[in-house]
Amino acid sequence: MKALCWHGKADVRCDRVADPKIEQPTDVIIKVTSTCICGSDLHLYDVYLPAMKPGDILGHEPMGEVVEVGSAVTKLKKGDRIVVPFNIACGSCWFCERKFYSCCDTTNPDAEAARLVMGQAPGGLYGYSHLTGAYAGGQAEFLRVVNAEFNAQKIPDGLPDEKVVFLSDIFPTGYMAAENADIEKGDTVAVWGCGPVGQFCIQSAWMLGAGRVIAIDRVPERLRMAAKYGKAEVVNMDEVTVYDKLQEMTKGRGPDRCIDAVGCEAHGGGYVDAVMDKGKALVGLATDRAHALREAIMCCRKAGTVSIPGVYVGFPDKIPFGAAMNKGLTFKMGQTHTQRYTRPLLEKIQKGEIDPSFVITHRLKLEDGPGAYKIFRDKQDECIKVVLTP
Amino acid sequence: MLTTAERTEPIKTRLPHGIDNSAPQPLATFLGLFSIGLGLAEALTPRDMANVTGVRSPGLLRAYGLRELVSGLGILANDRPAFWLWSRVAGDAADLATLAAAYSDASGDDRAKILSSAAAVAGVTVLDVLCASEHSHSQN
Repeated sequence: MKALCWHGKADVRCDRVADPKIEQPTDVIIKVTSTCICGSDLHLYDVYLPAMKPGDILGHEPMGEVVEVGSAVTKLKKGDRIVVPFNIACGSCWFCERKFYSCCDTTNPDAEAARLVMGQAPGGLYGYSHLTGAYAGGQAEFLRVVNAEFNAQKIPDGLPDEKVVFLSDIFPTGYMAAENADIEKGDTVAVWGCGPVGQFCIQSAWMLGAGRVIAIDRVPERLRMAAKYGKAEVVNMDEVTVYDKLQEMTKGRGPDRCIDAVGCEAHGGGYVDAVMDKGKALVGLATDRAHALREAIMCCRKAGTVSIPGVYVGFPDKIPFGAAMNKGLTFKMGQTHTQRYTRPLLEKIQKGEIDPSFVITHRLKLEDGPGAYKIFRDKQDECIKVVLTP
Repeated sequence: MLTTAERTEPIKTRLPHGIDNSAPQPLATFLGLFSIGLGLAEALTPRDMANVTGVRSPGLLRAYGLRELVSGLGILANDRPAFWLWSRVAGDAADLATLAAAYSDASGDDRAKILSSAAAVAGVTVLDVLCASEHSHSQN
């Protein structure tokens, strides 16, 4: 089969690789019909997470049609369409019983490596390095879906891929980020990063009762999308000082809830800390570029909440923790417990409350994946979200 | 409650002009640029290059310069440059043979220059062979 494989820094290739096989009785194999490139994939592309090996298949936002089922699978059959959550859960360990599915104790076969880096090992992820189980990813023609009946979300007829494929990651991620922000009715919510996750943070903030949503970015088309589809008030960080602007917009109090949907590759424009982050990262003295997080902490009102769906990988530098502690901020973060959200968010789509396809800017063939990574990373051609068709 | 507006912007179905799916090839790119640089120096200033290398044949150096230019352009202009990388290896062999022949006719400082040039060519030959082999393997 064809698959997008990692071969080094900024080196993704469409290779011919072996088809996946059923390995456990609870597996299914799907023919992938749509698969997406995620901002998190860029952390592998740019080697911010240095745990990939040449030939590893990328991708963690797939959906497709079941073509083969394991012997223990009874509720899924050939021909069913399923969306596959990016994280793999067993459903029965201590963490899964408490619905912390991305913290699953049993689905990371390389748990020791992750434990050494993180203290305890999170659960397995598709296509996301040897720290998270080295599972073959979903940017491919076929995918082995692990523990399929528990993890996968079956899709009813009548819903095209474009409306549901983001249930694999970015819609639940945005929703959980908004939930983690502890939004109370009427709150002012500020979202850093208007990429696809940020767009769903904005949508979800409204769903959860926000009175105002402020979207912060520097890329014009992303701000336009946030304003048009997210009804957000937009702040262009290249045109104003974000802190000053948010203070002005909130009459000096600061936003009630701040969501960092940027993560470890913040560009940060010409801000001093962002420039220093880039310099340090270039020479290997920094693992993360945390400009958005620093800014969210400084801007958040006292006793507010900072929610972090943005992925961090190591040891972000110079975090104003003194400010966070003395202002009494609450932090909530984590890889999404996707399986909590796929069914309720699917219902919202079915009821017409949201059409997630608004975020798609590019629909390309799998073979165009290498070029797609380039335009997504460099924000060329007004690229915001790429969906690939194998 | 916000209901998402229907998307009005068209979804793009092709990569933009100037973006392709080729893999980065840093060593091949370096060798291609090196070839062009060396080729220009040999083709445009053969007498100076004769002084530097100890090979007192400006006409031959000019010809070798054109050869380097062709190899360099071939490498940079092709997504699959294995043939052109092997052409550099062949050129390296010709260079080493020329240097060996020149050594026997040279004397004094020229001999030291020829030995230095040979060491440099040998080093670049290793890179050329490695890169050509890698590209031959990936192209098969």
